[in-house]
Amino acid sequence: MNIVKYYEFVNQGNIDIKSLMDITETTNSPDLEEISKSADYKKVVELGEIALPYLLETVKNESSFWLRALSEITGIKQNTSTQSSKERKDFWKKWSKDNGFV
Amino acid sequence: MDSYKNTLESWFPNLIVKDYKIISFNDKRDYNCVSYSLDIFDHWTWINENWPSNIPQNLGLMSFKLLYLSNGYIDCHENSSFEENYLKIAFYEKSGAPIHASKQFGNMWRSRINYGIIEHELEWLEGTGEAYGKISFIMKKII
Repeated sequence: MNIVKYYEFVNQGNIDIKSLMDITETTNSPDLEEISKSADYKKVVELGEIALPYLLETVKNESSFWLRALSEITGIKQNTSTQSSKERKDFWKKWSKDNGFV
Repeated sequence: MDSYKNTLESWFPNLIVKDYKIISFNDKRDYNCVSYSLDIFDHWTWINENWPSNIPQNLGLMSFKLLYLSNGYIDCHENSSFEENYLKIAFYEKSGAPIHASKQFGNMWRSRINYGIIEHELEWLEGTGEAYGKISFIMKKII
């Protein structure tokens, strides 16, 4: 979704990304894979690149919650079995700088 | 804080009118209940997230038992009472699937749930719907 479409999305009465993220994070599930299959999580992923600055900000704050969304949006695969969340977060912090999101 | 309390009570109706305590509340989702039960505060631990490579991921509740065994815990046969010089963890299951871990703190139990940590009795988190089913196993390790 590009910026124009995003504002159309919000103007159509849809909630903004931050609120959508807050709603998605309000879960008592301990399983990030299960959470990433929820309808609200998928809505954030569907927003695409417009959501990236918000998701990368959570990584900067050391949260692992949106790592799967970052992979889905960018197409950059990460292996949750072999890579620790620290390694994955470090990757996204560097990616963030390299791609002008800082 | 009020919003967190309301959300907790909507998930766990058994908490309503009980003397549970919100021990801490922050805005980071940096670890989950299993991590908290193992004193890990910088990442989530689940079968598909930071799972030790030497422990099978596909054994359901047994995978979690093996995780705690590998951390020095032994089965304590559902004995949830406080024992001097022992740390205890309790693991919940819902419809046979792993769902939550708590750790003992004195005569009470503490759980990482969503953004916070609460102190509670084990049965207060049990139930259907969004609640955590029932206790599956309790394990202990010597301090």
